[in-house]
Amino acid sequence: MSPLLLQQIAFMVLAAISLSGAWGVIRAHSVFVSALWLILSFVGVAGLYVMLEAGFLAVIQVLVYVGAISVLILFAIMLTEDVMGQAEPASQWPLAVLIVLPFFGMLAKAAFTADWQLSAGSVAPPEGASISAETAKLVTTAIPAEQGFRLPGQVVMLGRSLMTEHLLAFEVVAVVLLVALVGAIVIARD
Amino acid sequence: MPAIPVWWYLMVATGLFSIGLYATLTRRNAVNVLMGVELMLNAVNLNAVALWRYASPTVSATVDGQSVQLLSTLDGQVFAIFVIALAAAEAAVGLALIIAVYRSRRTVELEQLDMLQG
Amino acid sequence: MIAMHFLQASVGWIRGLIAGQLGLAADALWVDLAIWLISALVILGVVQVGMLYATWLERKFLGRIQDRLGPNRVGIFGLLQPFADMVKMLTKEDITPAQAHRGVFNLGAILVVPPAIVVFAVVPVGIGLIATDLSVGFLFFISVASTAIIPIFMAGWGSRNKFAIIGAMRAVAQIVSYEIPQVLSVVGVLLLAGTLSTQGLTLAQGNGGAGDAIGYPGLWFVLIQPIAFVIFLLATTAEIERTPFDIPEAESEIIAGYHTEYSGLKFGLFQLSQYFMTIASAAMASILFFGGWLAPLPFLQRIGPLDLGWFWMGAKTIFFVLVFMWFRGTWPRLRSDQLMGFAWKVLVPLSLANLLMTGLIGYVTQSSTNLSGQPLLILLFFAVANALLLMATLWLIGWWRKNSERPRIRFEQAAAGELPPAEVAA
Repeated sequence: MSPLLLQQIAFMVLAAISLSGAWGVIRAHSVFVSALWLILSFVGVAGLYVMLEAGFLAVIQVLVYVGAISVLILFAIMLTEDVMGQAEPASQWPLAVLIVLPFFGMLAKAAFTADWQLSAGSVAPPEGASISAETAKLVTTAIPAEQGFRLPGQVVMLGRSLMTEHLLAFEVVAVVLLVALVGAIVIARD
Repeated sequence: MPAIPVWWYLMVATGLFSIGLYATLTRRNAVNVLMGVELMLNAVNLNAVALWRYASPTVSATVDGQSVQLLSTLDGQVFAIFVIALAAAEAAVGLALIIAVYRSRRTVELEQLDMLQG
Repeated sequence: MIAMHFLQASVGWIRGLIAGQLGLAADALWVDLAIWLISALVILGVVQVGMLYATWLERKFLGRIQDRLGPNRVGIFGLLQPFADMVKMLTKEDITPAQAHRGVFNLGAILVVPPAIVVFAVVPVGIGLIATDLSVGFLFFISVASTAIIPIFMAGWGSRNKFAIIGAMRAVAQIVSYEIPQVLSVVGVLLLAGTLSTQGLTLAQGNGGAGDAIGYPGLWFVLIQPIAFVIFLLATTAEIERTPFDIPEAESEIIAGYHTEYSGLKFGLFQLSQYFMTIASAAMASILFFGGWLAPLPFLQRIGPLDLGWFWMGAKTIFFVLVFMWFRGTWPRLRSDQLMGFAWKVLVPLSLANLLMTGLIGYVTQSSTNLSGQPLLILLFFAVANALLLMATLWLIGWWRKNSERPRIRFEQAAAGELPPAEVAA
């Protein structure tokens, strides 16, 4: 068994986890069980991030989606549902299928046929690998020259990227989060 | 090329998005609708990260004396981080709204929330 | 350094040995898999035995605190008591309540254990002696530990028992709240160390590591970040739901909280995960603030060729486990509103202020060329800043308590007839 095949098997398993989780969301009879399936789906997607060599993002996905958003959802279910309650059966499903299936077909066709202009790059090498000065400038615009060109890890590069290229978006998101938090408290309190 | 073709990831994302869309369209419970929205956001994130990994610009570089092609940006991950942050904000406000609605109407079934129909 | 080279060599030797047994090249995929499997089994074995004896230690230690003997019947000093307890627990009847949601109920008990084991993957006990040295090690620990909320919720909901649901709601509110100061307090340490990897965090406190960033090699972070350490320890105690923060399972209020309905083996799984998380949190506290597997003094790091990293890591972990037990033995349980108020009104602002302070001093000392070679001066900076912050906090808490208690004091004065009638009317 080659590493290639192992990777493909891992992908299959993770894809199956995330898709079956999503399927469970729409098939479960109770809202609470739906939420549990949703969590399974989140975990599967985190695994796919690991396969895409975005380890930091995978951890953040688990931390935010599984550890926070799911908990919010579960809390909301507990606060709004009769605990024993069963969800109503899905309404308007034929119409929804009519919309979703062509939509799925369209996206799938696009995924197959589009020219994605793939590139064969590898993600940054291990933290601390020594690189040339030119590479340092190319890979990340923000490494000060006096740091001796030890390549920082992906997390450091992400941080630099957030604080340089994407600074405006970063600040806007921060403000949005603050406003959302205050707003949520104002809305939800008696 | 990596072991897994990029369209595998795109297909998973497509599946997640379609299922999420179906959930938002059919479920009556407001919390369930919100779950559908979260699924769709996840699909978008997966797309962003997959296409970052497979199709972002590269530079040739020398690392530990060997020549390699390195991705020159982390944009896909940055986008995904922003989406996750906004999804958290959206979930907080959405669920606060649902709880507020439940307080006044004693239900979160969307079909019964038709006060504006006059 | 010689010890490190020796260890790296010995890790390579193990790799070669396994490769030889399997008849493969030393860098083959199967060798990696075999090493992962072995490290997983080692972690499981060590943690399992550690957990069994943590229960024994807890009972002995609490006994000592409460001036009694603790278990002393089974084996010498009661050393076999954990096994007797295990047999008792395994032979109990396994009950699923008739009204429970069977799948969610059982799955909750099963899923509560894996997160508590997986976090040990990022606990290092020496150079190369770590299951996976993730570049996001600390975040991995936090995120995996935070997933433990879900099985708690499942247990509470699946039991169909009001005490279980109240317990689960309390547990989740508590864990989510205390996660914030727990992470925020560590951000200062992460800033100074410049890495998230647990191995990197350990090495940053050693000679020649990123400890150079503050100009003083071999300095444990507890000396530079004492307030952060206290916040982390308290928040962690709440995270793992140990007394005084064990409100989710307060037996005098809500029976046993979310695991009220569990019996026998499934109850044992909850106990198991709680002790696992206690050990893991103790390990994380020693990694972040007490130098992990580094010896307190450099010459204690090894005896001859033998690296003592595992010994120091184990000693520090057991020390912190004992600290958690000491908390349990000496502090009364908080009330639910006190608990949340403590997290949001005290720990979160304090950890934010600490973060601001650390960033400021770190920036000044790292950007100033005059200061970069003056470790004691920098240590002094941090000491003064921490002392000021602590004094400001205590003053604020005192001021707040005085003001919040004023109505009660006035009421008591009025009741005792100490106030003039005009003021009573007002």
